[in-house]
Amino acid sequence: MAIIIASSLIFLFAAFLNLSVFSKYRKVNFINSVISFFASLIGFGGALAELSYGGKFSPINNSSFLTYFRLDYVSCFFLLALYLIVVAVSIYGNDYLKKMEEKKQLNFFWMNFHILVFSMCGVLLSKNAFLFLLFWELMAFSSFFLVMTDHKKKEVQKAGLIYLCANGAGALFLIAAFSLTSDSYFNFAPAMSGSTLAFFFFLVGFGLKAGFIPLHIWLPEAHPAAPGNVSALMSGIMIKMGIYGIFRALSLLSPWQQSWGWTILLIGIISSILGVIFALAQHNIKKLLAYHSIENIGIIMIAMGLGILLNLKGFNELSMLSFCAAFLHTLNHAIFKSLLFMSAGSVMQASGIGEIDELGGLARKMPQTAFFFLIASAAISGLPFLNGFVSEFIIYYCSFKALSSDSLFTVFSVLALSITGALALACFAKAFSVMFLGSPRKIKTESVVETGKYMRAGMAILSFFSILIGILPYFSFNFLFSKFSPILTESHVWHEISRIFIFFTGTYLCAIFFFAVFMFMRRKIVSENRVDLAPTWDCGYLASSPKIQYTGSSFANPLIEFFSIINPPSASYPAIRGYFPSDNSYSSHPRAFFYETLYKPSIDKMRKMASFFSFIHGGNLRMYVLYIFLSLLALILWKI
Amino acid sequence: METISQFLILAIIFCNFFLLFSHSTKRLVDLAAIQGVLAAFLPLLNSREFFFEPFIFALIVIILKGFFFPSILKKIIVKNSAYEEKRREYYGHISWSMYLLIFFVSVWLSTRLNFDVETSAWILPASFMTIFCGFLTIILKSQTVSQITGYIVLENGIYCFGTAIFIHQPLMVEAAILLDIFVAIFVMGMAVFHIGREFKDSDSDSLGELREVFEEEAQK
Amino acid sequence: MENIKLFLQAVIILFAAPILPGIINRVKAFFGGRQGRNIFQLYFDIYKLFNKGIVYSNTTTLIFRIAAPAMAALSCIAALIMPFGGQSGLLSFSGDFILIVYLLALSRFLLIISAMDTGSPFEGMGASREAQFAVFAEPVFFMSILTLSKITGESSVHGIFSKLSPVLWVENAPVLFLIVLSLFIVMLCETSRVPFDDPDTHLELTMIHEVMVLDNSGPDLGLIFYASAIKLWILGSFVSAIIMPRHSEIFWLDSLIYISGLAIVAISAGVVESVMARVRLLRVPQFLLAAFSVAIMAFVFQSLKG
Repeated sequence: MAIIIASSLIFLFAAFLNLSVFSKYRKVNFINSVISFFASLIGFGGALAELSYGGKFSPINNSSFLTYFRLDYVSCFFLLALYLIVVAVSIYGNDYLKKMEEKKQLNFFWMNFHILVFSMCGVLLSKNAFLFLLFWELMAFSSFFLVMTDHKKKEVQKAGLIYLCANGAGALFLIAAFSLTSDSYFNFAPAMSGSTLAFFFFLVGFGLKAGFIPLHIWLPEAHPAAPGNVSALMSGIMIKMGIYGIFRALSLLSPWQQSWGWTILLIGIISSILGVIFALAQHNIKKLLAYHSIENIGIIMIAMGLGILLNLKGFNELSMLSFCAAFLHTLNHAIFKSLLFMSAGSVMQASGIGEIDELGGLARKMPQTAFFFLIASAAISGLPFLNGFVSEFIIYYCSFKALSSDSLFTVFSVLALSITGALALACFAKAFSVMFLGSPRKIKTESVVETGKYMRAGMAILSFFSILIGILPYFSFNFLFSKFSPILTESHVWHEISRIFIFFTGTYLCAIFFFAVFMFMRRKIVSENRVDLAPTWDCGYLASSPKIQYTGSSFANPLIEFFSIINPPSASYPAIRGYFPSDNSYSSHPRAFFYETLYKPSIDKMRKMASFFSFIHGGNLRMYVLYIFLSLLALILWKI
Repeated sequence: METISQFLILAIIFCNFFLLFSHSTKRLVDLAAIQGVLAAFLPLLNSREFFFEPFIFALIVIILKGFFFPSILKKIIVKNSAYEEKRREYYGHISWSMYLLIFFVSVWLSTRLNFDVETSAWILPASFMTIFCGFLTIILKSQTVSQITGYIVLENGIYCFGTAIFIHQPLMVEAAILLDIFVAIFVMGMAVFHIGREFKDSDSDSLGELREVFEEEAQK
Repeated sequence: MENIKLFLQAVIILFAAPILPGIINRVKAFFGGRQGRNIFQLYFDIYKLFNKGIVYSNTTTLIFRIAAPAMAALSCIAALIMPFGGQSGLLSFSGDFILIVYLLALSRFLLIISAMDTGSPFEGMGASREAQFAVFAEPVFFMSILTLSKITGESSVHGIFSKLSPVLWVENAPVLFLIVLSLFIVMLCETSRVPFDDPDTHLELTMIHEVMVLDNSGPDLGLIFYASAIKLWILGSFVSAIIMPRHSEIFWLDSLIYISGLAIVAISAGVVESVMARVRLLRVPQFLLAAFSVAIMAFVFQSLKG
C-alpha cells in the first residue's frame, strides 16, 4: 500500500509541477511521459506485490494510520489494471503528442492527465463516502478537460458538453445513493430500509460512468473527440471505475435480491447485443471502438448478474467464479481496448483519416501497428490463444454447470455471449481488414510511415500481456485470483478450471505444432516448385481497381440491413433530375439511436417547459429583492 | 403412443411455422389441410377403448378438412388469380418475433392451466400456438383467401384444445366445432368468390380502399 | 492399449475426413443419373494440389500466407478433441465444445481476413456473407448443445455422447429429433452446403466459401479443402452421435457404428443438396432463425417435461 500511495503522490506532485514550473518550458512532453511511466511502473510493481501476497505485503494496510483508505483485494486488482494501462499509455503519449506539441503547450494536458491517474487511485483506495465522491468528481473534471483538448472543433465541444452532463447526473445519483447508505461520518453503514432504491441509484450513477445502455450516450461522442491516448486511458480503465463502483455497491447492500441480479443480467445482455449492432454500422474507427466498449461492459455486467443469480440459487463457488470472470474480463478489456485505441490513434495520426472506408493496405507500411491491431481484434472477439477467450470461457462454464430446470438465466447468458461473440468477430474482421488489408481506397499510402518507436513500445507491452494471459491462462488465473476467496480456491470448481486451463495451453501448443508441420510441408513442396507473384486473379477479373474493393459498409451491409428495424441508418441522396446522366452522390450515416430517439426529444421538451418559467428571471434587480423578501417571509411564517 | 402423439403435435407446430413464412396461397391452403388431418388423428391416439364412433368421426374430419375445404379454396384461388401474397418490408422480422412471442406465451399459459391431459403435455402449448398463429395469419396476410385459411387454422387449434380437455363428451363438442367451421367456410367461400368476380382483385388492402369510395358515395 | 487407441483415433480422423465430401458428391451424382466422381476424389485433388507451385497475389500480406496452414492446424486440433467411437478424444473437459466452436471461429476469422486481404470484391462479398451467417448459426448450435446438456446432465462432449443411448431416444424422441434437425441445419450452414451455399458453382451469386479461396493456389488450396473436410467431420459427428448412439463398449464396434453414422449424415447431406435449391440469400437469416426457433422449442419442451 505504501508503494501505491507513493506512486499516486508522485502523480499529484507531477501535476503541480506542470501547473507551476513547466509552464515556463515549451517542450514538456518527454519529461512528463517519463515521470508518468516510472511512477506507474512503481505502482504496477506495488500492485503486483500486493496481489501476490493477498494484500498483506505492506504493514500499513491494517493499521489505523490511514483510516479513510484501505486496500483490499478488489482495489488491488483494479489498481493493477490501472497501472498497467497507464504504463503503456505514458510511453505511447511520448510520440503521439509530438505533433500536438508543436501547436500548443501541453502542460495543462499533462496536469490533467496526472490528476486523472491520481484521482483514479484515490477512488480505488478510499473507504469513506466523502473521499470517494471527492476523487470521483476530480476524475470527472480532469477527464473532461482532457476530452476537450481540441476545443476549437464543434463536435469536440458537443462531446464535452454531453460528457459533462453525464458526469454531473451520475454524481447526483451517487450522492443520493451514498446518502442512503452512509452514516453521518460518511462511513459506509449497512443498508437501511429501501435498499432497492439505493441499489437503483448506485446502478444509475455508476452506469453513467460505465456506459451501459441506455446510459451510454456520452461514450460514442467523447471517445472520438479525445486524443488517442486519452481515449485509450478512458475507455480502458476509467469506465471500469463504474464497474468497480457497482461491485462495491453490491458488497455494501448485502442481502442481494433476485430482481437486482435479473436487472444487471438484462442490462448486460441488452448492452452487449445492441452495442455491437450499433458498432457494426459505424465507419469512424473511434466511434466503432467506443460502441465496442459498451458491448464489453455488457459482457462484464452479464458475468456480474450471473454471479448474483448463482449466489441466490446456492451455487456459491460458481458465483464467485463468475465474479472472477467479470474482473478478468475487466482486465482483459482494459488491455485490448487500450491497445485498439492506441493503434487506431497511430493510424489516424499517420494517415490523417479516421474513416475506415477511405483507408486500406496500411499493413504494408505499418506492419507492426497492423499486428497489434490484429492481436487486439482477435482478443476482443474472444478467439482462442488470446485473453478474451479465457474470461468468456469462464462465463460459459459457469452457465453450463448451473443449468437446471429453474435457472433460465444461464440460457440467456450463453445465448447473449454467443451472439455478441459472432457479431464482434464480424465487426472486427471488417475493421481490421478494411483498414489494413487490400489496396488503399482513397488514401495515398506513399506518405504513410510506421509509427514512432515509443508508440510501438506502448502497444507491444499490452499485446504481450494479452498473449500471456491468453496462452498461459493457468498461471495468470492462479496468480490473479488465488487470493480472491479461500472458499473458491479450495473448491472442486477451482481445480477443474485449473485443469481446463492447462488443457488450453496444451491445445494451443499442439495447434502451433501442427501449424509448424504444415508450414514446413508447404515450404518443402514449394521449394521444388515455384512461387509467383501476380495481380489478384479473382476468377479472371481483368479490370480490378482499388475502387471496387469491398468497403467496411459493404462488408457489414447484410447485417446492418437485418438489424435496420432497430437501427435504421439515415441516408441522404439528392433527387436525380434531368434527362442525361451526370454526377450524383449518396451518403448514409448510422444514427445515434438512443440519443436521437430518447434523449434529444426529452431534452427539447424539457427546455420548452423550462422556457415557460423564464419570466421569473426578469433581470430586474428589484424583482429579485422582492423574491428575497418573500422567501424570508415564508421562512418566518413557517417557523411560527 | 405418447411418442407418436408427440410427433403429431410437432408436425402441427411445424405447419404453424410454415404458415407464417409461405408466400403462396396454395401452399397455405395445403398446410391448413395437412394440419387439420393431423389434428384429426389426435383423438384416436387418446382412446383406450375401441369404439367405432371416433374412427367415423375422424374420417369425416379428414374428408372435410383434407379434401372438401381445400378444393373450395383452391377453386376460389384459381378464379380470383390470387396466387401470391404481397411481400412487405420487415415481414420476416415481424413474423419471426411474433412466432417466438406466441410460443412463449402459449407455453406460459399452459403452465398456468393445470389440466390433466391424456395425450402428452405438449398438446396444450400446441393448441394455443395454433390458435394464435391462426389469428396472426388473418392479421398479417394480405389476400382474403389466406384469411379464410387463417380461420381454418384457428378452428384447428380449437379442435386440438378440445381433444386435450374434453374427456367425457368429446364427440359432441368436436361435432359442434366441425359444424361451425363447415357453415363458416361455406358462407365465406361464397362471399369471397363473388367479391372476386365483381372486383378483379381480392387483395384485402385494395378492398380497404372501398371504404373511402363508400364514404364519398354516402356523402353525396 | 489406451494410447494405441487414441493414436488410432487420431490417425483415422485425420486421414478419413476427405471421404465425406466424396460421399456427398457420389449421392448427388446418383440423383443426377450420372456415375459421378470417385469417392476418393478429394484425396487425389489434395495430392495434385500439393504438387503444384503457388501464385500469390501482390496485394496480399503475410496474413494470406499463413492463413491456410493455420486453418488446417486449427481444424485438426478441433477434430482431435471430438470424441470418436465410444471413446473421448485427446482431451475431454467440461465445456470443451466451446473450445471446439471457438477454434473453428478463429479459423473462420483467418479465412475472412485473408479473403479481404486480396483486395477483390468477390472475395469481400464471400467474407461478408460468411461473417453474417456465423452470427445466426452460432446461437442455434449453442441452444442445441444446451438442450443436449439438459437432457443428459453432462457438460462435456464426451459426456453427452456417452449418455446418448437408445433408451434416451425412447424417452425423449421428439426433442432429440428437433435437436438433430437444428444441428443438421447448422452443419449445412457452417460447411457451406446447399441450401446456404453451392459448393459446385463458381458464380458470384451462389458461393460463399468457394469465393473466399479463389486466390489460394497449390498446397494452400489443398490445405483449405482438407480443413473444410475436417470441419464437415466435426459438425457431422454431433449429428451422427445423436442418430446412432452407441454403447457396446467394444472399440471396434463402436467405431464402426460411429463411422457409419457419419456416412449416413454425409448421404443425407447429399440428398438435401440434390433435392433442394439454394435459399435466396436474403432469406438465409430467416432460415437460420427458423432453426433457432426449432432449437428453442426443443429446449422448452424438454423443460416442460422434466
